[in-house]
Amino acid sequence: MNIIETKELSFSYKRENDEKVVLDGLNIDIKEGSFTAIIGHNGSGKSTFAKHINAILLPCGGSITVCGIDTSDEKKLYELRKSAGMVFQNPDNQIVATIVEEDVAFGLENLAIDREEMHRRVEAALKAVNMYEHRKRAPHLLSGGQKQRVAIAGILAMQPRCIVLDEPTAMLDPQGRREVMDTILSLNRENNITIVLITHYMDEAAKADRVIVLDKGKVRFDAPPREVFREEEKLRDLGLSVPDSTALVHALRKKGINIEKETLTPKECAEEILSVTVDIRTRLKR
Amino acid sequence: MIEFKNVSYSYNDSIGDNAAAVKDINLKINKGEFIGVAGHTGSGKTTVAQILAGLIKPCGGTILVDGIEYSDYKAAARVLRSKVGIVFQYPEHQLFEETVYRDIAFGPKNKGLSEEETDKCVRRSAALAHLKEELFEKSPFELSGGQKRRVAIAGVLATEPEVLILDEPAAGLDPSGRERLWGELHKIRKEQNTTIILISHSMEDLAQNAERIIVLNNGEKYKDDTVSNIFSDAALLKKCGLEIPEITKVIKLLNDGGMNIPENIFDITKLSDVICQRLGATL
Ligand SMILES: Nc1ncnc2c1ncn2[C@@H]1O[C@H](COP(=O)(O)OP(=O)(O)O)[C@@H](O)[C@H]1O
Ligand SMILES: Nc1ncnc2c1ncn2[C@@H]1O[C@H](COP(=O)(O)OP(=O)(O)O)[C@@H](O)[C@H]1O
Ligand SMILES: [Mg+2]
Ligand SMILES: [Mg+2]
Repeated sequence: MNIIETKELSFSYKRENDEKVVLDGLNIDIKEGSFTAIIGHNGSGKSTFAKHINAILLPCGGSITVCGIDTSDEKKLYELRKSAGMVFQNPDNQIVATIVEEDVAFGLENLAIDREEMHRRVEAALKAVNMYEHRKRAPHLLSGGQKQRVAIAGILAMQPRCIVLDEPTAMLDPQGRREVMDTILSLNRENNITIVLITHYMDEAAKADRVIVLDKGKVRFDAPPREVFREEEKLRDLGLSVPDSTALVHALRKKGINIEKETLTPKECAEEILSVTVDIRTRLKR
Repeated sequence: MIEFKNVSYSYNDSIGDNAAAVKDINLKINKGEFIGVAGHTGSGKTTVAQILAGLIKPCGGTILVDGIEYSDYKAAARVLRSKVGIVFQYPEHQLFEETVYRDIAFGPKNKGLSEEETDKCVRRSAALAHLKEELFEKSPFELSGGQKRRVAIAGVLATEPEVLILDEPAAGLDPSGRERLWGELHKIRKEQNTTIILISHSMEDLAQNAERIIVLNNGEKYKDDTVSNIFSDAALLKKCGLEIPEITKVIKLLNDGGMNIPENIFDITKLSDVICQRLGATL
């Protein structure tokens, strides 16, 4: 089942003189429970697309439905935002309360649910992002990665079916990035939450089931990471790159070393290279 | 040219030693170096950068500039500010004029350069920062994140600093934007022998660009060494929230599998050459 469907979705930020098309007839369907990464150079339209998913922006042309709701249906706006939550880049701009657990509960205040259910949800959300032990702390004392996980917990408490994350790791240190990526992966695999991740880190995109490449508001590639990252030169022309573990194998291939598999992680990359050396040795023995 | 001796800083004097943002740091910045600074969020990177730039007064320790120890902080700050330019973590925080041109012109004008000299300086700095002149009459606030960063860099370059500090300048830039920025920094360094201090969370970016890396951890200087030495100890880096670059992970795995490749290769083409040699040798 598709949780997000767009038909010829178009958008421009109407400005008198130059009306630039930012989204140009997008047809993107996203399956429930999938993990999609969106990559593209600065200004390619990624954030604009993300903002269409929970109706921060409405299409100028075409349509987008999320969880079966047409995002321009104002009566269902609240239901829509409950089903599809957003996490943004800057961890400092997303926290509202002075205690972690109150921050996570914040979005629930408007829901007609009793205290007990609220506590249960906050507890479950904090446990899911591995922040339960920090529930009594002040958010401003947390690290960047911890703050982002609190922001994710706030969305989880609403029990969404889909989470859209717009460069959630751009401002984090390596450990923070790892924590947030592990959290995203576990929510997708264990809680079957649909993930749409916008990122400039190719190694993060490599962890998705599917990579969509945007350029000037159009889809340029849409395939599993192994297929997309095969196209290193075309991606570089679009201002992007590939994971280093992929690039190394490409560089070896150019020098005539026969490695067929596209490798996405250091482990895969090293295994392929080592198997070539084994091949050579066994051939020599014969 | 700049030296810290036991420099400390605390945002809040009333709390004990533990609360200090920067603790008892000794370091040396030499002319023309490309230095990387790494450390977890809150480790003190921005605070150290601001002390270097003469923007905040340390609570303890001494700062030497060109070998001269200043007993009066005001005098030290004046010298530091004249030599060190800083591109802030959030470039929005340092753009304030109505147009891009005026923003870049602010520094040189303030220094008392003539209209004509200022104009030359603005154009040269904009070119160095890869900023198109067609943006000169726009408001800095209409620009994209990457463009704002370029205006901030051009504005700092216009003051002709001997030391250029960039605080996480690549956050949110796409891969080609990052590459271009590194290219510009190397060019600036080559053309003007500018010392570059790059603060970054990307170990790949630091490995590929810096010569020396200073690692901060909880306000202390944890390590200060060549890039090769810093990235040779994965366990140590992990302990302070950092990592080794992806390519170093590959080399370690290859070596575990019996290959013998130097770990201090951070360039993919170079590594592919070495692997080819090794494969050739087995033939
Ligand atoms: N609020 C806005 N007003 C006008 N133009 C905008 C606004 N936000 C973004 N844009 C423009 O829309 C284009 C796409 O931007 P965005 O979706 O933010 O790209 P990305 O997230 O891929 O970097 C860019 O050209 C950008 O300048
Ligand atoms: N303006 C401030 N007021 C109070 N504490 C601050 C301020 N700025 C930074 N700190 C604290 O000082 C420490 C070092 O921060 P900072 O230098 O910004 O680290 P980094 O740049 O490595 O993330 C952190 O514990 C941080 O919370
Ligand atoms: Mg964006
Ligand atoms: Mg900082």
